[in-house]
Amino acid sequence: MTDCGCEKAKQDLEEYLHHELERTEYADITEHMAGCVDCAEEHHIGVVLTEAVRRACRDTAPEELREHVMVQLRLLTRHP
Amino acid sequence: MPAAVLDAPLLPTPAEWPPVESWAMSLPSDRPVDDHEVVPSDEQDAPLDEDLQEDVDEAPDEILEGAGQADPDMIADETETVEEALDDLTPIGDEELRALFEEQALPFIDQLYAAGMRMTRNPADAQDLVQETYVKAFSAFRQFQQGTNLKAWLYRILTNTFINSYRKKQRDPYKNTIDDLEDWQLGEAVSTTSASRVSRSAEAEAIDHLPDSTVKDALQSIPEDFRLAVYLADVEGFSYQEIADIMKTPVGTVMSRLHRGRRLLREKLTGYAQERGIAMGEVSRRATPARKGAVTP
Repeated sequence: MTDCGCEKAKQDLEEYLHHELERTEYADITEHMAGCVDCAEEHHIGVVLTEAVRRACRDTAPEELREHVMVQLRLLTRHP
Repeated sequence: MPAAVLDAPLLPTPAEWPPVESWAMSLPSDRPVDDHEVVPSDEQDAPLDEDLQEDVDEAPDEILEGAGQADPDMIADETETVEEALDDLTPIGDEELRALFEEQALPFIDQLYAAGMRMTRNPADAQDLVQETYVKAFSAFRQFQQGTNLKAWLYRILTNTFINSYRKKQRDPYKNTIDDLEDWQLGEAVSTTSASRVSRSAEAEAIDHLPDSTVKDALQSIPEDFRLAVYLADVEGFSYQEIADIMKTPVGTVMSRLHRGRRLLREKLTGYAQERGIAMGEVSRRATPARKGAVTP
């Protein structure tokens, strides 16, 4: 495992964040960020952005939707 | 070591995500084992047969009529459809099928509704979309290959239904060309982004303190295909390949949509934060870090 340098790290940060890299590439970027504040902070923004989106998208289906779906399914099985 | 590195995700392992066990079809333990049967050993994507996929999209009535007569050619050797698994035990009953479907598919209703909200941008359409998705999914459920990814299968039906039924109604000038537009045509900042003028740690702090409604507004304001890619990756945790299958687009396009979508989102959120006077390093006059209370609606 070797430090991949800033250019490579910055280029692959999004794939890193989304677990889309090979194990060795992943390890190289992890090692690079351990010694590079710039890339580590850039990655941190990516993490925060993902968390913000995840937090904002916690919708709960209205109860009436659940009921409507179950009624629909019953209607479908009554008239196959 | 910078604190940010501690936030780095663990090395991905196949067992880590997405969780397979919770939704995978389970076989009754006492069922006879066929010689040719291969128990799915790993997570698989759930391929919808091309023809079936079209049917699920456009002709649920035909699927209903054809239920119980699955074309053997449609069934992969190593997997069984729900119907086959049940049929080994007893003649398949509609009630039994419905109970299984409700048990397996209904737990995804909150997620599908949230995705529907991102797609349609209003609760009434999102509800109609989800309801239609469940009806279509149930109509095709006999052909669903157990052990494959039910969640991805449901998302594919949801996305197809949205594209065929709802997107046509919407006036989206970017509809078919969004991937071809240059960054400047999308209003993406080219060189002097707000992000480049503030420290990254301040930017992260500011984004972290924005209210959910602001993040939602920003998400709703970016082009639909970008928004959906971001949602599927960041909220649902689908892999790039799964998103490519759901959106019926090459993986390279998924990566491009994700990258541009996230960049647009970041620029908008950083802009909002500055407008609202949230502390931003050099550009802020505030001496203390922003707190949630500093956000004024």
